[in-house]
Amino acid sequence: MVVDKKFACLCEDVTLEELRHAIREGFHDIEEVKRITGIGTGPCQGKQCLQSFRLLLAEETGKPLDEIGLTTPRPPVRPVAFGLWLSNNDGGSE
Amino acid sequence: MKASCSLAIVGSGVTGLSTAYSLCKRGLKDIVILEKGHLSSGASTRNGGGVRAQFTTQENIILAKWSIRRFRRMASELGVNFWFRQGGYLFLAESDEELSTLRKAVSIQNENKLDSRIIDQSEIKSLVPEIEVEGLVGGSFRKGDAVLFPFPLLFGYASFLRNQGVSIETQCEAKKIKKVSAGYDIETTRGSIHASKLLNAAGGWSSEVSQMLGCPIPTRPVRHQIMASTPLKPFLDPMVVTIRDGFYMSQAVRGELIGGITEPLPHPSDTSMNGSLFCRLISKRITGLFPRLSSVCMMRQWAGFYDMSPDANPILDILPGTDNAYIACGFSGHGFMISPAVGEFMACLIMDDKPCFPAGPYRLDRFQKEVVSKEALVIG
Repeated sequence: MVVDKKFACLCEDVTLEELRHAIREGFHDIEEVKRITGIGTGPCQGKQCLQSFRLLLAEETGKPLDEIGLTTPRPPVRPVAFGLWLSNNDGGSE
Repeated sequence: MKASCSLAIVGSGVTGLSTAYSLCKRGLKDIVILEKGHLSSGASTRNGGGVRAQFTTQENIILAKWSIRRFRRMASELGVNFWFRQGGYLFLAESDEELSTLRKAVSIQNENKLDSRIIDQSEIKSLVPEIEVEGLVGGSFRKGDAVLFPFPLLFGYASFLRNQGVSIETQCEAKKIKKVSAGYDIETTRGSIHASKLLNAAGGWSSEVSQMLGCPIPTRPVRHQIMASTPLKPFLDPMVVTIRDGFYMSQAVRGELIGGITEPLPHPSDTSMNGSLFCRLISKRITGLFPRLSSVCMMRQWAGFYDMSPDANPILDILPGTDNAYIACGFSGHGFMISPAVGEFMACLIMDDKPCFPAGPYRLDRFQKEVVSKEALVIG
């Protein structure tokens, strides 16, 4: 058995082969493939992998890159410690 | 898209997929699922994956118990691993009043043959050694409650259904529904389709879809936020829930902490809005209950809808005045965890079989009566 170890997402250890498998199963939307494989949901939130992910999706589905779209960026921009969220106030209105 | 089908399901969330799955098992496969976004783009892929039977109404307890039994064998049925883990649910009380709420809940649960029980501070500490027990007066616990990872289950359903010949039409929004002699003509953003029967399983959008059918229902979408931390070595076995502020947190098999909390202000219904208030509230709660997590990072935060019904129990019914339009909605934040039972129940209704659960408590007309058995344990 050949194990593909070309990583597309370094945070969540998602390989190119896993992405291809999901797309070939019929999941063509960028948000669907993100959810199946976990690509782009780790600590870097897609900063390292999003472009190669989009290129692969375009190549596999035959769609133009412009139609692939983006995953929805989520806060926080980078991981923030729970303790730090409390640093400038009392933790919200109560 | 096909021109016609036996059954159209509006919504490709877990309720629609689970119902289609149960129908396929009974031989009805001429099904088209209409989804306005991508597959399971609503609450089904936005929830925390909690699965519990510790409810306060018989209606929810029956469906949840049946569903937990089904989840246990679902992985082998579908050939997917959705990381179902029965670490239990631990409810925490921080006052005598909250403890009495839990005592009442446990007594209802025990009457319904559920093995939940009240536990004291020292047992809480032994279940979750990292928790700060000062301020806790007790809790309730049931080991059989669980967490799962929603995505593999949803995508496993979708692959199974496609192999059975079910069409799942994504980016295909139902815009108008017209009653015709033998069913419904549905106008979508990608053409029209005729369906002999119709199921509204549109989650947060189910009241809009019902409006198109000319039959208003008393559910409304309420936005809830949720967050995930960076992954940690496993340390938290049960899902931890507080009665005071609806805080919940569990550790996924991937190591991330997943949690939410009730927010004091109503939200605009816009899922793109982020909430620094939410982040501050939940961070305060996490660091209060788990001081050692102060330096652990929140990685990601997002939102989804609870489709709230007036009594926080689901509505599972044939739409009044019709014999071919069905509704499964109003799950009030519990849709995923009871979806196997709901799918089975709706399949019975649609196939005109004897329902596998008593149908009365889930009917739409219950809201016209005086006595309503309201679910008290809605969290998040």
